[in-house]
Amino acid sequence: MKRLFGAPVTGYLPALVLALLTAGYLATAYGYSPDSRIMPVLVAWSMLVLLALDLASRTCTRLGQALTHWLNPAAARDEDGPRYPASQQVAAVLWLAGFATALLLIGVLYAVPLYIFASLLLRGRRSPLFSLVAAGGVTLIVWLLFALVLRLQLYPGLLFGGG
Amino acid sequence: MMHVWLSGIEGLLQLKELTFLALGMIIGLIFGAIPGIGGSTALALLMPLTYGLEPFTALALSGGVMGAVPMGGSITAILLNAPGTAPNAATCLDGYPLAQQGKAGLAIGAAASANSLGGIIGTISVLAVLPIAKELVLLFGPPEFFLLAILGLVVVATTSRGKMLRGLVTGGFGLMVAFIGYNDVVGDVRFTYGIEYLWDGVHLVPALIGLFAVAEMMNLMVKGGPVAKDAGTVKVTRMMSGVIETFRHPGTVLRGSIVGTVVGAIPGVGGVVASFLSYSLTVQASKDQESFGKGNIKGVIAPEAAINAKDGSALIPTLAFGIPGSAEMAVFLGILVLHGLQPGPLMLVQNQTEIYGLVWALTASCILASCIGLVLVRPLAMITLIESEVLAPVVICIALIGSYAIDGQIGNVVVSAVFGVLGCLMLRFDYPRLTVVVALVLGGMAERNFHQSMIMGDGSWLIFATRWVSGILLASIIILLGSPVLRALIRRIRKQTVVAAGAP
Repeated sequence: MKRLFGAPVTGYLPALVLALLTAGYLATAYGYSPDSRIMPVLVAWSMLVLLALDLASRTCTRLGQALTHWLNPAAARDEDGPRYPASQQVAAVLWLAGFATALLLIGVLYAVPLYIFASLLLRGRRSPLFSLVAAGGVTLIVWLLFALVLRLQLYPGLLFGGG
Repeated sequence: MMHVWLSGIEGLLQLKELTFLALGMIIGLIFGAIPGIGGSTALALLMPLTYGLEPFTALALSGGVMGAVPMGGSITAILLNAPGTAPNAATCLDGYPLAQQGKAGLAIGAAASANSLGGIIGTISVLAVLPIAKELVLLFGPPEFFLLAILGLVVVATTSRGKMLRGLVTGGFGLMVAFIGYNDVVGDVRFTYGIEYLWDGVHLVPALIGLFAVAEMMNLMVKGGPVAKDAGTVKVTRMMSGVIETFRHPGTVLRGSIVGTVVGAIPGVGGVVASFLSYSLTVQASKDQESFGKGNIKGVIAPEAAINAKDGSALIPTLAFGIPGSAEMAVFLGILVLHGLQPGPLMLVQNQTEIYGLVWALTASCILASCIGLVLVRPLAMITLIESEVLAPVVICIALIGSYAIDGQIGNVVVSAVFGVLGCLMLRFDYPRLTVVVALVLGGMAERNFHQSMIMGDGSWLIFATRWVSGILLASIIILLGSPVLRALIRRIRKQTVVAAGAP
């Protein structure tokens, strides 16, 4: 793994991404009236200072060690703690994104059984029968709880007339 | 005064009132346990159904719901790291690690008993404070509210287990998100980038569902296995062991209850601040701070005591001024108005029986709900043994649809999913999530009160230092920000003293 100032490059990523977001936020804030932007600007500038300190604290330099000692003594470094394969982490995000997209497109009553069935069968490696029964059971609970008891109109999905 | 208290109890001890109280309690327990569907949703759904009821009966039903919701919320917070209601997020911090260690029974037992004790202490405080409520609430003006918001953030950041800098970073990020949407001070819309859904801002509950329920389930999917790390070691401890633990820490219960009562009485601050502040103060007061976040039972007791204690005192601004302290209280205000009860100072004089009946209903409900929670400890703790491959999709499913159910907006699902990924990344890179929550809750309030303070002080920042309550709050913020450096300096001086004393 590539290292910068003695620390893995990935350790800097969160603070760098946040700094970029904050810079964009700050640029947008300056487009508003002075009264409207005062608090966002104040917070964004403070964020940039804090992020600079966070970045510095992640280096394995004397300054970084001092900052960690004073302000982040218990913070785990990137290489600490258990590591899981990146593919598993990406898969977890993709499953969530897939379900959210399915909810948006085909609605609750189709997305729920599809997600539960696919998730149990493909990810959980359960039998097709178990997956089918579980998918049906969860859909029934969702329908009973949200549609029947709460009288909520379950989202039909963009493809079926959802707004 | 005593006869009014007794008339409230007498009014409640009727078959009809007790039946509706029990019904409300069961509904509250169920709704509290579903992430995203808190007391406000339950009350909103019940509101039209109370129309045909007598005002006192409707209040008994509402009190039943409000008193039981926190217990329901703490069950899912402990077992699944998915807080049923926003204030229960603080319970996750130590409750969930306890569940992972196979001590879910202990945690739920402690939560249930702390809930009851907090409710009782809260009630006693309210009974004592209600007559002088007006003076207490009026101590806080815009500068104090602004500083209270900042203090809330700093307190949570400094107690983020030795991660103050990262806590402040995530707090700042939370504030940035809190400023999204319609700005009611100036009347413009900010940072929405053309997305209509964001005009109302980023909704708190969907964000919370994402940060806690969804993120934790994603994390569990990556790790694999059940919630309890070692299924073989899961022991559903006796129901009473958690209760005994609560009674072993009377100071923690009392501190939490006092924090809950005081914070609950301040409009707009709410249960999230009460529970996190109680947790943070308990960490500060503890000798073994390192054990918090890893399954310290005091980390469960403190927020739970505060959550139920605040319910009673939250009635003070709602009833005395018609200012609801939370979404739940706002809906409850609607129920009061629906039944011809006009909140305001006059209500404290004209409807004393109803008010005290409601206070007793809240107390009875939280005690009964805690008892039911204790009975259900064993079967509920078994949830922690379900494999993540089965549990995670089901919880994610219910959580996202619960998020949609809040107000029927599909945008909530997207917010929960985005915050789920964000929460997962925060877990991965070791950033505390608590400060994001507190900032989301307090951001709007901080900005509104900042502008009002500036108007009050003719644009001078001195307004934050020249009033005695705000002066105390400002001094507390400065001391807390300097506390890590101060602590390290004290440690170094002590070490040098010991070395010097030991030298020949």
